[in-house]
Amino acid sequence: MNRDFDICVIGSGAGAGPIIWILAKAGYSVVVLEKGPYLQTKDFFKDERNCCLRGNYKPDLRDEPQIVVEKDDNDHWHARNTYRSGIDFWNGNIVGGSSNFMSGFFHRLKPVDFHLRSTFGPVKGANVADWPIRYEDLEPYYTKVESIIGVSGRIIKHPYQEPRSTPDFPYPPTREHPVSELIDKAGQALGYHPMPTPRAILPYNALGRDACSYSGYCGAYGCATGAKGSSRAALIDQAVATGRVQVRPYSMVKRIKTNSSGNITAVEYLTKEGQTKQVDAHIYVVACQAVETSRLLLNSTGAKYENGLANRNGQVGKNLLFAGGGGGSGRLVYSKMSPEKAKRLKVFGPFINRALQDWYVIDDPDFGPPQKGGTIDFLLMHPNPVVRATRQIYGENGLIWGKPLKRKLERDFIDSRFIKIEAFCDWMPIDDCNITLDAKTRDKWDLPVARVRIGYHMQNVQVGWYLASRGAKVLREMGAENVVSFASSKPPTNLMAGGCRFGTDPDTSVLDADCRSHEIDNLFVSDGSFMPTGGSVPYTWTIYANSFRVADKILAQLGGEKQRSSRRQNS
Amino acid sequence: MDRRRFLFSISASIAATSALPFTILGAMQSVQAAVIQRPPTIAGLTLAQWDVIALIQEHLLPSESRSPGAKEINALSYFQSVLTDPRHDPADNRFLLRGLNVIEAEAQKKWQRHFSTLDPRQRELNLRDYEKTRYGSSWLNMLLDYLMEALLTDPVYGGNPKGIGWKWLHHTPGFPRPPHKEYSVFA
Repeated sequence: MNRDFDICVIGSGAGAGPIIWILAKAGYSVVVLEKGPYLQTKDFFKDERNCCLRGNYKPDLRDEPQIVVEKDDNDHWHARNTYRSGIDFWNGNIVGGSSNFMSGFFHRLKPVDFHLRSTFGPVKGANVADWPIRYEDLEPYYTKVESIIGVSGRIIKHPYQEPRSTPDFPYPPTREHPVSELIDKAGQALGYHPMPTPRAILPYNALGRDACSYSGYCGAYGCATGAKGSSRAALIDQAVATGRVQVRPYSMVKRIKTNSSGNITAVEYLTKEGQTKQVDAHIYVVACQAVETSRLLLNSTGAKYENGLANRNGQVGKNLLFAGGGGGSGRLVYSKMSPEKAKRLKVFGPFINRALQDWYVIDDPDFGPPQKGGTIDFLLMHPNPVVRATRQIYGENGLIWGKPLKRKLERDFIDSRFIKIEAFCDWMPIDDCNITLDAKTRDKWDLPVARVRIGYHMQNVQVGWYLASRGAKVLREMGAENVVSFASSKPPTNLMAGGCRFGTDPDTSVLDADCRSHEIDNLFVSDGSFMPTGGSVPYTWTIYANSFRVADKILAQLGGEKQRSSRRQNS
Repeated sequence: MDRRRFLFSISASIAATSALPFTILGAMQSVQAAVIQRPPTIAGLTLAQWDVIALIQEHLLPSESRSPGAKEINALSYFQSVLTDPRHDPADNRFLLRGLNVIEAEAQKKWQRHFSTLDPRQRELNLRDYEKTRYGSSWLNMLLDYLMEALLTDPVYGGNPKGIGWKWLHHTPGFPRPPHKEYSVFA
């Protein structure tokens, strides 16, 4: 049967890029439908107002809201339109998706993450499930990401190091800030094991991309050199160069159409001008990030799919996950240290690149039975000056203004180096954290919008607190002042997974072990939606690795490399 | 004095006199009528109201010899440019106007004077009273937020001229800096 393309990929972030890259290089034609524009490295500037204050890489929330549902302190649930809620679940609607704006803190999962239920047993109130694959299945793909996306780092002898098939990273660490030494010293004095954090950032020119410029503005910003391994810079630009990939920017997919037999007939999308168009392919891949992936499947009803595509068992949108749990900060005061030390710490640009994984599994009788813990990342406080200054206007007795505000700004900016900690627990999958379609609210194209319920399990908070308080100990040991640490039940809306979990049982999962829909054998979901549990780290490396794995499964389903098989036929 | 402010000021002076010859007055009345019917506004606020906003901004971020204040960072024109941006929520403009009216009414009630004629101590009391009201804190918060933007966003947006805010706070901006104002990729 003739089709427009071999593969149609909806979305272009970390879950999409590897499939686009692998399949294009294998000789297949690929169409990519991305709802935003195709920007290039030269289009990115260090402009806080653009990236971070006005959110210009996401749609106007008046046109495309979502509904967020959360519980207040009195256990009452409230639904709010994201135009007014202060949070939303769009994370970069441009080619390359949110990977353009990541910080690139790359941690692998560890073997235990693949069988939490078997290891620790069920958790009351949570839907913890083992993965249908093992760490060994994903390890070669983590390694592949290191070399293709470009991961820099340094392996040290460490009791919590996951198994690796290569001795070290293909790229040495990016330049490190003098604060890293202070963390090493303080952590070791406490008997902990500070470890270098791998980063998806190139320390020197490689892979056709320029090195990091150490501008000091990384997370939340598009990379102006291409050093950051976004799906666009590392994969899609190269895939397009094969001549077999057609990226269609400003293509908002409305639904995946199916016929009375239940087969996919086309993907229907809107152009920037509002024209409705269709495209068909042999294989369809959905990778729109967890919330919008589930929304698209739920909106794609058909004669055989009254509840949405791949949703016969009602599992689409369930068990949404976030990477979070807690945080904290401390302040190193320049005026209280020697001028030489202050001068060193004032250096601007290099990264801290330090983490603690000493409590990845918590085996502490005071805390309860052995259970999954997590990761603590250390980082310099983000330099965004407006965000930083705006924090100073709040005082214990109300707003601060006038000369007191000016003195506070001086203390914060001129006399301080703030160090931040981020703690990642293994976010428990629960019934009250999910994605459905909102019954009333529609976007500007009259499509039902996503309704995101962000409940949490108390274990997230407990583990978040356990981890953050240990990170705070390191900050105090370093001599930091004003050290605070906290647990947070709030989901970081840029770090999401789940909603279409994979598994071996078609009754309880959406996807099979290859991330293929149980119901439709040419439909794959390759963003973080597949994860039944998330591990206690940011998800991006795992999403990349799994997408390379799924690419191999699709390639096998298509019969292997197209060029090679044609060459064989011709010889 | 710019053209809009000039027109506004002459209309006020005309309204204050009745001794002009009839013919001149008649000719000028048509100008006056046009001006009075549609007083010049920016983002829904008259220029006189913007003068009050400028006073409040200067109170919230005063000028000092050692550091820039609202005037030096072009806070007023920055704020106006934000509120006249087509993508900006017009509800903010209405909110701004409502707050201004409440502050003025409170000044009249408490001091029997316009807010603009209060001394700094009275202004502080007036604003602190407003902060305690239901919407007052949000209103002042909004003004402070945009002051911080005018102080520290890239000069390409009209505030922070020549990086005066960055220099004061020893802040290192990132590079490359934006060559032009932001735009929404979905506009």
